[in-house]
Amino acid sequence: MSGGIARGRLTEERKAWRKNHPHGFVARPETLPDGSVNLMTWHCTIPGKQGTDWEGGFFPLTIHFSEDYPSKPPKCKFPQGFFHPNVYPSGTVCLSILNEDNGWRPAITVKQILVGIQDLLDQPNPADPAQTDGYHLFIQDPAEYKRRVRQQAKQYPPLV
Amino acid sequence: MEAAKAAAAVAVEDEEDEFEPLFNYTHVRPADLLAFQGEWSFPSISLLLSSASITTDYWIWLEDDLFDSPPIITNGKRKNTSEAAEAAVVVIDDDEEEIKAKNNGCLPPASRKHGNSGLGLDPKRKKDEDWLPPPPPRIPNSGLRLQEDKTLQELRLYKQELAAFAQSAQDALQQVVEGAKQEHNNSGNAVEETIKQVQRQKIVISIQDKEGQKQFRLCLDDKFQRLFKMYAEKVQIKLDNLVFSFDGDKVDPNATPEALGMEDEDIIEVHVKSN
Repeated sequence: MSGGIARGRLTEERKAWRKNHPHGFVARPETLPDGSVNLMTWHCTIPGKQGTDWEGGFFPLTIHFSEDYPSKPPKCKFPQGFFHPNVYPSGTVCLSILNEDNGWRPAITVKQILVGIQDLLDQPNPADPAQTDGYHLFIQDPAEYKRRVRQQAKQYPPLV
Repeated sequence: MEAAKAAAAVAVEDEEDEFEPLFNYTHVRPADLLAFQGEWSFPSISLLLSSASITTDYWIWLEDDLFDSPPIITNGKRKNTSEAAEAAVVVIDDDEEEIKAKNNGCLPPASRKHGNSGLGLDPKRKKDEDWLPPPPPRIPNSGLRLQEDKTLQELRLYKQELAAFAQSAQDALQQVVEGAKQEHNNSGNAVEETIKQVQRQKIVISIQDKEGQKQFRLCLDDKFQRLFKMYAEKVQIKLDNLVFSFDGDKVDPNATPEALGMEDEDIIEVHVKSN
């Protein structure tokens, strides 16, 4: 039954997104090879904020919704090895609002998740590191960290 | 002599109360009682009464329950009754006869001879005819044939009527089927027309840049080319420097909202090329 609730909610999320979403963001349910739509997995794009080292990058993010959504938060993943102190080597984003035991509330929308992750890109949380590489450079070598971030932004140019 | 006896018998039945003190009819009574019970038969009455003719009279009259009627009329009645009985018997013989009997009711049956030969009533009938007024003139055989033919014709007409009715019913059914088919086709056309209307329907699309959204109205089957050109003029940026995307994909200027599966108030994002 919860699956039905999840799909119903995601249908509404998708509908709302089509009518209104922040500029540069993309969020759409996965289209399977047979042409059908899988509402449980969304392929998204988060643009790097202007005026930051992340500007110019359009970072691909995949959101995996469980059958327990929205009771439980979705899992958000950047590509494996994504450079960021709060992203696990697997690409999974570590963010308070995506933590079931922390800041997740069923009322949080896809748009809020994506904007929240966009904010996280430029404002890492050193208190909750998820990878050594990004965390160490952020703490110990801000210049190198800045270079790595700009380099990564170039890796993800606009798709269009 | 026999007729007088019969009349007397009738009178007995009719005015029993008046004559009771003067005459003793005890020897008649058993017959009466039997008659009223309706259980007696021809042989039993013949045992009770000496004259066969009187027996017949009693039988008929008691059966008809017409004690008040004058003897002459009852005679006529009796004849009719016997004829009716005969007609009823004839019914059993032949189906055609049955129809005729039903149609004609108590009319003199055409096959009287046939009925007579086939029945065991012959002796009684002959005696009846001895003293009865002559039977009504018989319908000649040719007339009978005609009548039969008429009946057959009626039957045939009725059959034709039924056939015609069945045919008309079939026609009606066919018409309904045809109508349904036509309606189906029409509905198909209607659907196509509706699709055409939908195709010509306009939708509102927002073009969103960094500053905000601007709404445009265009037909579902319009190419985006015109819209993009119009937008470029409006924002005073060269069309070549603008990139339009829908759901993360670049929008081909030759595409249409319909081709991209767009809905009302969908958003096309516009990006300005940096260089």
